[in-house]
Amino acid sequence: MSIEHDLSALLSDRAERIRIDGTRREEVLKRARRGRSLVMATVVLGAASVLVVGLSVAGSLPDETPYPAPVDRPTEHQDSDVEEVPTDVFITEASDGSWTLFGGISHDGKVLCLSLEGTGCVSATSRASFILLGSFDDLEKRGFIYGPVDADVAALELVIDERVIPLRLREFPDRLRVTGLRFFVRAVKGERSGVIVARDRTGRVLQEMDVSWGMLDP
Amino acid sequence: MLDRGALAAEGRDVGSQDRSLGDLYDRHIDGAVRFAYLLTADEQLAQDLAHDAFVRLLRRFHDLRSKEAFGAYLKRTILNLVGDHQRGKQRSDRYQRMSPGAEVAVVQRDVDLEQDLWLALQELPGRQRAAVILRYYEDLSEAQVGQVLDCSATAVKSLVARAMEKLRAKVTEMELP
Repeated sequence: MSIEHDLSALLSDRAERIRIDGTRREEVLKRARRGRSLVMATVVLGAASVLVVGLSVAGSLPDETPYPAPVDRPTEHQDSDVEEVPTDVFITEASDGSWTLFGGISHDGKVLCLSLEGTGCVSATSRASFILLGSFDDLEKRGFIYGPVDADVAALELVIDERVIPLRLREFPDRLRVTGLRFFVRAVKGERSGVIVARDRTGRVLQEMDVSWGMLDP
Repeated sequence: MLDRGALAAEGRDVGSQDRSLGDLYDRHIDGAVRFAYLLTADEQLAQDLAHDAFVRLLRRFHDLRSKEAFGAYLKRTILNLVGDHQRGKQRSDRYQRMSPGAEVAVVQRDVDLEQDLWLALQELPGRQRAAVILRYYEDLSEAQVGQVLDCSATAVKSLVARAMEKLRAKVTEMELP
C-alpha cells in the first residue's frame, strides 16, 4: 500500500482518538463575546480619540489638552483578552550590521508602518518615517532578516516633548519584538520629531537617537 | 473539506450575534482541535491553541475579507499559534540543553510502521507538515490548501512533494535494522 494511503489512515486514526474537552465551551464563548465587545469599544474609543486629537491640532481645543498616559502593562501578566496585536514594532538586523525598526497599526483597513533604519546598535544618524504598506505579510515577503539587537538594550522609550512612551520589548528566538506602538501613534499625532532612548537593564541610558517622521504616499 | 454553501450559511449565522457564536463553535471546534493535535502531537496543547484561535479570530471577525471562509481563517490562525508556540519551545529547549543536569528526552521508538510514520511527520518543517495534514487529512485541494497557507497551488504541490519524499526516506531509515 502507498505511503499516501498509510498517511491518510494514520492521520484519521490519530485525529479521531482525541476527546474534545466539552467543559471549555461556555468559558470560550464567554471570552469570545467579551473580546468582541472589547473590539467594538476600542473602535469607538479610537475614533473618538482621533477626533479629539484632530480638533486639538486644528486649534479648537486648548494646547494643554493632555495626552492619555501610556499604560505600562507587564507582558507576562497581560490579560489574554486585551491584545496589542496590530501595534507591534519589529527590530531587524541584517548581516552587514544595519538594522531596521518597523511596525504599524491598523487604520482604515490599511497598516501604517513606522520604518526606522540605522547602522550599529543605535545611531544618532538614524532616521524614521511613516510609510503606508498593505500589511505585515508584505513586510515578511520583502525579505527582512530578523535578528537580535544589541544584547544590552533592555528597553526603548520614545520621548516627545518630555512625554515618555515606553516601547515594550519581548524576546523571540529570532527577533526582538517591541510593543506599545498604540501609545506611540496616539502621541505622535501632530508631532514630527522626538527622541528614542535605549536603556540597559539597570535603566542606564545607552544611547539617544533623534527621530523625525512624516506621512508618505504608498 | 471547505463547503462553499455551508460556509456562506455560516457567514449569515455569524452575523446574527451570540446564538450563532455557539453554533459556530459547535461546527468548528472539533475539527480545529483535531487539526491542532495533528500539528502538535500534544492533546492538551491542541485544545488550548484551538480554543485560543477561535477566540482570537472572532475578535477580528469584522475585519475578515471573506467572512464565509471562517474555517479556513481558523486553520490559518491555528497554524500561526502553533508556529509561535514552537518558536518559544525551541528557545526553552535551548536553555534546557545549556542547563547543567538537564534531562535529555528519550523518544520511545516503535518498530510499528504507523508509529514510525507518526514520528517522521512530527519532524517535518511546520509548513510541510501543515500542507500534508491539510491535503491528506482534511482532503483539501491544492488550491484550498494554498488559501490556508497563503501560497499558490504550485507551492503547495512542491511542499507536499518534498514532505512525502522526506517521510518515505525517514520511514525507510527507521525500518532498517
